[in-house]
Amino acid sequence: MLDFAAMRLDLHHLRRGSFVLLAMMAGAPMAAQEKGWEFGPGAKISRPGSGLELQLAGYVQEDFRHFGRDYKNERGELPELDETAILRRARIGIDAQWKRLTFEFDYDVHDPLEHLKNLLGDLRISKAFHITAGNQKLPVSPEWLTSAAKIDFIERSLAVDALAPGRDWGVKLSGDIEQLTYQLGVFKGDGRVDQSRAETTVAGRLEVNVLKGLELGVSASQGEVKADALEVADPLARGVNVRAPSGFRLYERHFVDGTRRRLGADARLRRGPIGLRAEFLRMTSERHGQGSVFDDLPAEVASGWTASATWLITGDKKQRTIKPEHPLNHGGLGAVEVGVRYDSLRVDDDGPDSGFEGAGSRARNIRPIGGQTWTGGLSWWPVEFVRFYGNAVVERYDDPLLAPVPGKKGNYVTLLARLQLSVP
Amino acid sequence: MSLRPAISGAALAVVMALAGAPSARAADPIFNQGVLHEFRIVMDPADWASLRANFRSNQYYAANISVDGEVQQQVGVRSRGKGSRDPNKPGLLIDTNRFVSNQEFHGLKKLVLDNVIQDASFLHEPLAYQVFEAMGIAAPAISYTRLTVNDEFWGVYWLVENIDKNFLAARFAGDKEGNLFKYEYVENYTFTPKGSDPNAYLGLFQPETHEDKPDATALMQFVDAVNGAAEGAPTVAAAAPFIDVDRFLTYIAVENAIAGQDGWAGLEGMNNFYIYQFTGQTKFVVIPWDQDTSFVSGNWPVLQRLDTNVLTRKLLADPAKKQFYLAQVKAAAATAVNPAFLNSKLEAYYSVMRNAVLADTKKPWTNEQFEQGVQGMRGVIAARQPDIQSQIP
Repeated sequence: MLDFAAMRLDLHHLRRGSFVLLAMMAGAPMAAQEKGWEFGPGAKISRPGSGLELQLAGYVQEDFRHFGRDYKNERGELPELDETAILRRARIGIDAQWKRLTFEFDYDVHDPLEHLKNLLGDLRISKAFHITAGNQKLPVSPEWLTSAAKIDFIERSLAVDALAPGRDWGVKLSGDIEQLTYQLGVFKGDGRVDQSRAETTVAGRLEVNVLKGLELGVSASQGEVKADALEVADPLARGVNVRAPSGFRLYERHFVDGTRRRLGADARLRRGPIGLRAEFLRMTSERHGQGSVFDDLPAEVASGWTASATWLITGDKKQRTIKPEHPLNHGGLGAVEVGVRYDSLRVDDDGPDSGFEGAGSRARNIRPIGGQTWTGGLSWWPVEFVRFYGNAVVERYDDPLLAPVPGKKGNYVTLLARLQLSVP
Repeated sequence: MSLRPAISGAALAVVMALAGAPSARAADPIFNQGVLHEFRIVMDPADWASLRANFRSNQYYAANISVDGEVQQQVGVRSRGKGSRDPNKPGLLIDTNRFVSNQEFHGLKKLVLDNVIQDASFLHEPLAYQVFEAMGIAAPAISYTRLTVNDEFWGVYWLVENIDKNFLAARFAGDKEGNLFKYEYVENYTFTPKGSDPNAYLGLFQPETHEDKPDATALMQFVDAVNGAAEGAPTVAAAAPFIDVDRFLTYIAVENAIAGQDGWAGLEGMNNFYIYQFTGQTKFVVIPWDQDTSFVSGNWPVLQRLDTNVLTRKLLADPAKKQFYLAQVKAAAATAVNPAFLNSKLEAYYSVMRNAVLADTKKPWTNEQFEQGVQGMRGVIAARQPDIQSQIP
């Protein structure tokens, strides 16, 4: 049974987010009234002849979720899960372009941990050579490099959510050479606000367009993670953090110290209304001196993969930004997409499987955890700037003991819904 | 010292009303006091070495446990205690919920393994809780257990029910969402005002529920109300919104009946108890804890140190309440602090744990000191009731 009361619209959050968007949209035409500026299309301002363009950007997302009975134990208690109604993101920003320079600024008014998202400048020396500097996403996972407003499902896949690096300050070189696209950068860390942040990290990504619409990619990153000093009273574990789409944390962060290395491989195909994606990620983190008696431990190894298929049943073209050919305000239905995704993640250590297998944060022999999710999704864009999503997620856990209800094997079902409004 | 209060029939009625059957938890097989339990811990030997080496730390380690053969996997184990923290025989807290969400063992999320290094007789705490329960004061269940870690014998421990939401729900008709605070000695505190900063109180009364958003508002109001009232009846009236005064005085009466060094009016201020604020109310109840320094002497003033604590001093300035208090001490002696009630329990405990205690090489006592401790306890029990009767004829 759906608990509609729990899915009630959080009007306060929605109003706050909508207000931000409206303020942004109202401000643009006012600026355009200045002499020599042109407004549009959308929230764009440009100065003809100068090559200067300013584009307002942003979106708000309000999420609702309902947890199936599977999550309740015999006393009716739920484990710690995400909230049932939450303003998930409220982003505002500006994209500017002037001749060979582009500038991007994104700010989340709602995220207390990371208000500043992107703040970067890009100098285009040639098609084959860009220099980008600032706070930006590290170039590893294509799903992570896709905006949260444009991914196919409400939640990112397990592996990408847990293993992809975040945003950090750095300098990146990139460009297109024939069918190749490369990105290579040096960053201050691999997630500016992440507890698991490594120190200086090198990250790179190579893509090849082998056929029209088919892209294959490989990626890697490497950095050094420093554990807190021994004198610190409550040291922070800086290992991988694994969180299911329901919000259930299925893995205790482990203490790590040493080299963190990621490897990735991915494929994407877009043909007309169809989109296919697959991605594999693996992350190893050394654990020097992180044992209970400060002994070296086998490295933590986390790996996962995801595969998904989407179909725009209204016949619209699958592209990065979905633009309905027949929007609602022109008498059409808008664009409707259905999709399905499978993903899987496993965390273990690379040592011998001997001795006590523990779930603790300094376990020599890590008790392995694994999970899989099936996600069925429906998205509707009545117009380009409004998107309604509905997802049904089935989570499964390899180790019943470490499942949301200890000892209960089987499916855990979460229903998710999202309303998203974007700046035109 | 001889006191001559009249014990009213009403006071006896209160005793009878407060007195109840032993808690439901005591019926749980793992708290069966008639047997010596077998508590086994299996964990990474390096983790156990680390726990002992860093016995002041609250770092949790993963372990599998079994109690009398019943297994629970992936529990959290850490060192515990205040003055009783010890690397040679560590006191342990078992948290079944630490690594496994909502996991319970016999309906419990936490279990305490008390290392019994402050009581050579191994008898004080189990007997003290028997007296509290007999007087209608909810007390934790407790039993004796052998402990082995990775098959090595680590001695005899008390297996104690932790005071947490499960305890509250079981004892207070399902009420468990209120504010629970643990009081352990920090300074010589006697219920005096600490100012308007809640943190000044939360440093003394450690929140055990709602730890992320502790609320000391009612606690502060309680302290302020008592300190702002004149002694005697005004204090009784001021305290009434915050505590069941008669129930509180019964609790205090038991503390002195069992000659307890700690407690609400402890040797160096307040020490070792929990205080629970019922859900949605300003009312509190006190829960006994860590009674290993009870029964310290057969001769113990029934008004011991009550003048040093603001609440007890001001309440007992009311003649009616003082009379009630003394009646409760006497009732405790008549009901439970006497050889008829305690001796059979003492001998039963002794027979359950004696051989294992003698084999316990981790205890900080010699076997001779253990036997002397048990004998001394017999003497305290024999002396305690006559001593109380001599003070309250």
